[in-house]
Amino acid sequence: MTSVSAWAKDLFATPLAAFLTLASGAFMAWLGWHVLSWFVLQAVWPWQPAGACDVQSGLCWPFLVEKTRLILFGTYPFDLQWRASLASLLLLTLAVLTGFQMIGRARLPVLVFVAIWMAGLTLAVLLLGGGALGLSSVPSVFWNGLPILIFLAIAAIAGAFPVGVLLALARDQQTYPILRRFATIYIEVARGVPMLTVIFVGVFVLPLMLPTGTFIAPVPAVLVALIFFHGAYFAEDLRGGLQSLSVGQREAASSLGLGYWQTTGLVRLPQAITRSLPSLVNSIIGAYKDTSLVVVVGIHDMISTARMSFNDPDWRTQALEAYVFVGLWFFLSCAFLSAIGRRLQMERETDQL
Amino acid sequence: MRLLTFTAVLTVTTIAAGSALAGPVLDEIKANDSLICLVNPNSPGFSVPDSQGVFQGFNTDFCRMAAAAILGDADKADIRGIGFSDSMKTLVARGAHMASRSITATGTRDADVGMAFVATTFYDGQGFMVPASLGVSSATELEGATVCAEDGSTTLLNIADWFGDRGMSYRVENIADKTARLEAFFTGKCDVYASDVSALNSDRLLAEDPAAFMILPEVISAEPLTLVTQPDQELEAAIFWAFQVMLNADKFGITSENIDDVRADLDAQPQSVQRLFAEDGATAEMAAKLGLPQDWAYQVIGQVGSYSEVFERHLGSDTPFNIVLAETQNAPADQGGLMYAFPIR
Amino acid sequence: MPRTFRIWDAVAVVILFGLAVLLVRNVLLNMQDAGLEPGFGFLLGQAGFDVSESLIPYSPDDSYARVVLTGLINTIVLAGVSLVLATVLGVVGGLVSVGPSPAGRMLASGYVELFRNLPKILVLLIFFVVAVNGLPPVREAISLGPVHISNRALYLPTLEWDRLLWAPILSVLLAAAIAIGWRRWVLVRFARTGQLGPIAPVTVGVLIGLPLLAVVVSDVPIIPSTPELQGFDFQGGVRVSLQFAVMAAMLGLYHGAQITEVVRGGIQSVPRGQFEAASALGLDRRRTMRLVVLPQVLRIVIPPMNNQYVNLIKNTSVGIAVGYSDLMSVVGTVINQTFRPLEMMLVTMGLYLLLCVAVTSLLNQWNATLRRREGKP
Repeated sequence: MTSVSAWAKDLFATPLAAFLTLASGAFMAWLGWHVLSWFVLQAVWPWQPAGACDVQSGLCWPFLVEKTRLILFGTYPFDLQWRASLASLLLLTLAVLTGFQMIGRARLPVLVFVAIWMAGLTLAVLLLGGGALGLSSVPSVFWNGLPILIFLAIAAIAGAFPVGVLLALARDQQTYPILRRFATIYIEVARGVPMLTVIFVGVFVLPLMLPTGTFIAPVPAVLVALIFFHGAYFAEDLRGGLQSLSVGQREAASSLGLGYWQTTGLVRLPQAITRSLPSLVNSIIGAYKDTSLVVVVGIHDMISTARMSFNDPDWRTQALEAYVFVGLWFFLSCAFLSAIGRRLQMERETDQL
Repeated sequence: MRLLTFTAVLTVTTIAAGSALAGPVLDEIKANDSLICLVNPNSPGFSVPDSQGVFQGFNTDFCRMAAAAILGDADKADIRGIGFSDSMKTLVARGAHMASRSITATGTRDADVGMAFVATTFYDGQGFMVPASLGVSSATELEGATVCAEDGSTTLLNIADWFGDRGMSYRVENIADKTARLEAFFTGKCDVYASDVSALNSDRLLAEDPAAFMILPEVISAEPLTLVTQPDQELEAAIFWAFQVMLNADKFGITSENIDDVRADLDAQPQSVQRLFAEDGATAEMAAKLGLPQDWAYQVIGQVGSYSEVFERHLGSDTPFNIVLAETQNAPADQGGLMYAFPIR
Repeated sequence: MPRTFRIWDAVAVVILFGLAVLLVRNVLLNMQDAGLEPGFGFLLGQAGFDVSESLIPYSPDDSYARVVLTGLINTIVLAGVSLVLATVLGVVGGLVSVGPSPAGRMLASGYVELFRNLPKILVLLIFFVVAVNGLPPVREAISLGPVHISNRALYLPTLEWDRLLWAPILSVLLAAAIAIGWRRWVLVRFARTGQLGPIAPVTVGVLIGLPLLAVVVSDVPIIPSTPELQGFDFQGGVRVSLQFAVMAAMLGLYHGAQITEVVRGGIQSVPRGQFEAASALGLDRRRTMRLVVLPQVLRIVIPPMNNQYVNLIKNTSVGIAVGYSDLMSVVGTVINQTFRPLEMMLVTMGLYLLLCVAVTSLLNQWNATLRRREGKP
């Protein structure tokens, strides 16, 4: 009780605090009223006729009932959408599992973990694309909405991680100065240009670099670009972790007779990864959110399918519903990632004390 | 245009290398029992996915027309939504058989290897839309106006030419995102919205009160929107004549509704109609030469409909677009339009 | 274990060289097949399209090079304004989030979470749609004297340019120099003699008095240019377009949220003992913050701020969605017209890189100065 009353007293401790309390209270009330009115008071419920949406200004549930599958899966063949859902579910499970692994809720051996990832990604591609095991083939232009968003984000992050590790190691070592310089230049250049230019390079310039006559679809082209882009960010996060290790670690390992790769693989890298996890999670959130930018090169992620949903002549005034749906998805999934990040940050801070 | 030359040449080598194996495109379609057709992923009225993720719209129906004519089943069209420049690349790289996505036929494009312009399904042009409250009745009164147009599009060039030629000043708002662009126009951030007239018609309906906006009479460019295929004489012939069948059907008042009655009582019909649908008619003869189903003309009309039927279904008075066919350039030639039905014999 | 033969160096050189040769060869072959000469000559061709706003004179008759320059300047201005905005928001947010007010703390953490968990393109679209709907159209513009606000732009009065305007401009610069010099001299004297001279009154006096004097003496004709509604739009004055304002607000809030976190982390990393020592010396909360905590925080937060600034500069490129003619938007149109993706992307990436490197090295230099002042290596 005392802590509550102390807290309440803090609310009005100084004039500034009182002002902040009143101002934020008023703002929250205003916001809360609008949210309540849109979501509940003015809402058209699923059982009401869709025509009511033109009259009432609130959330139009009939629209969501009608269009949720379109927003989630776009033009993925309707009767095969169980495959797209399964693939999304698989990829999400993989992401959640990784989150738990990071905060130590799940403790899988590294090799098992890597194997699960490889298997999960392969299975997801197989489910989405088909063409084997009796699954009919679905070209990547049909991978729309949620599956392509998670697939691009997760595959890019998974691919970028090894790239980042190699770059970080190359930049961190002293033995090979040329290699180090190459890594440094690459990292700095990749981090100094906007992701949009990188996506453009993937779609426009990458095809030019391939042997004459080959054609690369936008999805794989963008994936390649994303891997090399995020790799540089991960490299910097990991380098921070590597630099925070004391020299003693390396000396101890080499006095045990371990070679460079053993020292790195068994001693330094695991510690460096653990230490750089908070900043890695930050980079991952950024990478995940930025995946939505692929919409500019014509890949139909959730923002693009949301647009399709309200471009149907019958539902043309429901843009807000579609964007709120997508916004909520991003908010919830990012909140999960941020929660992991905060948890890691707290653990690290308590470790340091 | 450079893009097309470029992609075209990029793939000539593939075609040359692959030609020993690949037969004509038409054979490939028949062998796969599926026709890959590219459409705009998000163009209301022309091609937009419905709630099941299946593309619907005016342009989509010409994909279905081709599948009905070649494979006897309109549902065998594998319709894919893909962006403009990617669709060109895909077509030229033989990743698709045809495209029905409002591509303007131009000489330089047709001269490129890897694409054939076959039949113009929609005559369009770039125009201007303004709020009725602006009190403007002609584009020549737009001195000093702010114009909304899609970022990176040829619309920007046409506007610059048009205003430049008349020595008029203007300000452009080149907004890439369609929602943002339309909101900007509807709320009066821009005075004018510039786009293809067909797009103006469909975009107008996204306003809360479409009647508050009007399209100005000036059309500042000619845009014959045309079906494009991979170069293959037989495929081009099949699609061109399938389209002519749809125009002819209009001429004789035949629709998907009454086609079965017409066929049941074919002897009572005029000679031209008999040639269209008789088992020994001109279309059957063409079918034998091109390797199409013998009753392909019937399949096209029965499964897809006549041209005006398709137009009416997706853009006409029962749709929110409410375009009156007879008032556009797409009216039949005998009603003053540009749709001229070639005789089928 | 130093090895004499640097095998991985050799491997890296061979692989990179081989890859480069292969890629360049492919690019050249592909371009040759398409009848394109690699080169930048096309930049001199006529652009033929217009941009939404430009700080330098530009018309569609100008060259591609000029339109790229226009875009670059727009990017720089937007980045500059957003940097200031984000920094102010971030510092305020950071201070509030460690402050004594629970409501303030909640507000700050709500703000951070909101912007941390939404993609910026979505935030941008929402801001834009709300702004064009919320503000009146140009004919019903809100007018506050000579200032007009509409959903098209913010219109401000300005001065008609005259060559004589150099006099007041120079006098402002001179006044600033004098004020800085005076402050330094006072501080030096304070350190030596313990006598504190007046700083604020002198500064204000010089900053106002000197330009005023210059205006009176040089007899500058002050001709104001005020925006007037004519035809479709306001003419005269300067305009700040809505998309610029929306972009600046989005970038400011988005990165402000991240800078809030940086500042909060920085303040919290200052050991408790510092606060206690400061209060033992009798410093109040505000002085503790200003004299003891913030100088230390500054040094801690510079490296992460560096990151934020670079990200902010790069994120200006999403302006394409709402019609801000920045570098990226202009380049997209140029590529569509000329089909020179390779050359244009090289130019664009080079320019962004240059901007980022410039900001980074400025901050690094400042960081080094701070460290030197503290006597750290």
